[in-house]
Amino acid sequence: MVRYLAGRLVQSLFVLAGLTIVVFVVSRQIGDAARLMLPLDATEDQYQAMREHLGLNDPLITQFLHYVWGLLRGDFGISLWQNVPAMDLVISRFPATALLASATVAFALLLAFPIGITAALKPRSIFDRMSTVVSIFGLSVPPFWLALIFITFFSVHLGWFPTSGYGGLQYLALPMLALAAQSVGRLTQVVRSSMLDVLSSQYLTTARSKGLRERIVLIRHALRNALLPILTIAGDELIGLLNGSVAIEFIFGWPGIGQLTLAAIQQRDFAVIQACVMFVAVLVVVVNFIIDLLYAWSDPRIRYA
Amino acid sequence: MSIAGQESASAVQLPAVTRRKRPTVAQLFLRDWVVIAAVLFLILVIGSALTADLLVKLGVLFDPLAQDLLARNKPPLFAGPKGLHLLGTDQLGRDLLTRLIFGGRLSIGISFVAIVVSSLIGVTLGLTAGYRGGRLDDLIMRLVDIQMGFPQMLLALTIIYAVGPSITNLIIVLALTRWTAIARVTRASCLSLRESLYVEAARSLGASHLRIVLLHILPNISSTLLILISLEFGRVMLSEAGLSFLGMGIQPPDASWGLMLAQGRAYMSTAWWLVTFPGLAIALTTLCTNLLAGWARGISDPTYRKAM
Repeated sequence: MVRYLAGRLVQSLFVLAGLTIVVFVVSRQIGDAARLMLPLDATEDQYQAMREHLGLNDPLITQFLHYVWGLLRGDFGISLWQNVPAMDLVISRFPATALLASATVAFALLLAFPIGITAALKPRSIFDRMSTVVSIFGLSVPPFWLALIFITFFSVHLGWFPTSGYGGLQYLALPMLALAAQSVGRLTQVVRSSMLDVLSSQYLTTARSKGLRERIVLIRHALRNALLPILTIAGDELIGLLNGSVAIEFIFGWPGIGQLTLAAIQQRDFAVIQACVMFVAVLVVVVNFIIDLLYAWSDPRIRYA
Repeated sequence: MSIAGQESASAVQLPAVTRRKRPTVAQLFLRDWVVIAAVLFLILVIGSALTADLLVKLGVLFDPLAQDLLARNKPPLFAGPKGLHLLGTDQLGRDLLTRLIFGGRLSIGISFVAIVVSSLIGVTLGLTAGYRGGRLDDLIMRLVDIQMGFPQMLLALTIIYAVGPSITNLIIVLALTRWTAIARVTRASCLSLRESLYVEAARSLGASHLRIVLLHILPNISSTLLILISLEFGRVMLSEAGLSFLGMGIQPPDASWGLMLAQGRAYMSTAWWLVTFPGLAIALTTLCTNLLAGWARGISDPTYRKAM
């Protein structure tokens, strides 16, 4: 198991290294930061001084090495616009993103388990077919459209929730619901199919023939073994939400990393862009690693391999 | 299958299934009205997108760029000076249905080209990795793993902003973000066929590697791949809409569904149709491809098909 996890860890390092190069090359293409920061009537001398100050005149490889050296020391550069360390900005936005993503996955699981299990217990019943169509519909609806519809209906017409902002539960509800549609769709399908796989296995018959009650059979024996694939997909959902809720954060004015990235891109603030992307990448690596751990913990075949 | 499994799952169904003649694909298709509706809708969307220019010439549709500022944000079924606006007009007085069809042409066209490109990359690399094995396999799969660890959406946004939003760049970014899943599945299916008897037979008859891969392995994994690719197509459509919505995709005055949503957002509370119809177009098109893919998966799986 140690070897398995070590292998995964090395792979994560490759991911981060590859990403560092891609992001660095890309963000140098974005445009002339010095030109952007100065007023329009700045003289050529001031412009050159600014370029020198920002280190933009150095050869690309020097800039890159400088950058990597900074990364290794935990220094992701200074935000060109706010003049604070870029990583501090990202970290200050992290709780909002984490809250939204984890609330969405938790909510989705809460719906997916009962629906998926009920559907799996009676395959091809009306309920099963309905749940399939509904979950495919959830998968197909663009979340940002759903967000706009929700705002129009629940906030503007009914006045139940605020249209945007960050704060208590009433602010969380709409962005969470808009994001959850996709997760509910995917997770319901996974719960259903992994339950179906397990339900036809022999050990369930053994459990039943031992005289165990059906509820115990389903929860202790079936659900527990169906949990692994569900866990994996739930982790994937979480990862997807951590880096994919840009549009939702933008619509709801949710002060998360996605919104910060979008703003940084518009201001050509590449220290912040890099910090955002790298931070989320590390987050993805960490979540993946935790999933691997859970996997190994719950499956003896991996643990002892 | 286990004795016990039969007992619990198919005690009632088994006789009914064996008595019935196995239905053909066409019969299965006609039996499922949801799938028929999905196909009809897709034909309608693609057909109107392909014939959009002709429809404008014939006068069925309006000029997608012609503004009429006196007829701004008119509701569906608005009869303007130039004719009936079935879905109303947008913030510049342009016919919404026309914009929707032209938007669909770009949205679907871009997603289609992107998915073709990423399928070509994914299938080629997946077949190479699965068939050759060894070092090359390690290298390709490592590449897939690395890219799968990237925060795709943030990276896509960043890259498009860096190189500038254009149709070509959009296609490249979308294609580059989705090839990995296809490569992975192709490799896995190829691996299981590589050692099969009929591939062995072809090999002993002296068939070249290229021939074996293209004529013996690829056709046998094509149904799996087609289903995966149509599911991926849905995801690409949503990504395209998302990028356009954030202003990193199609640029005005061109129309795409995502961009129309973004533009209609400002008038959301007074002109609901500006946001509702483009969103419905994205959702229904993606829904139909997903339904079709799900149905095809059921059909290609014999155990499932028997029970359908």
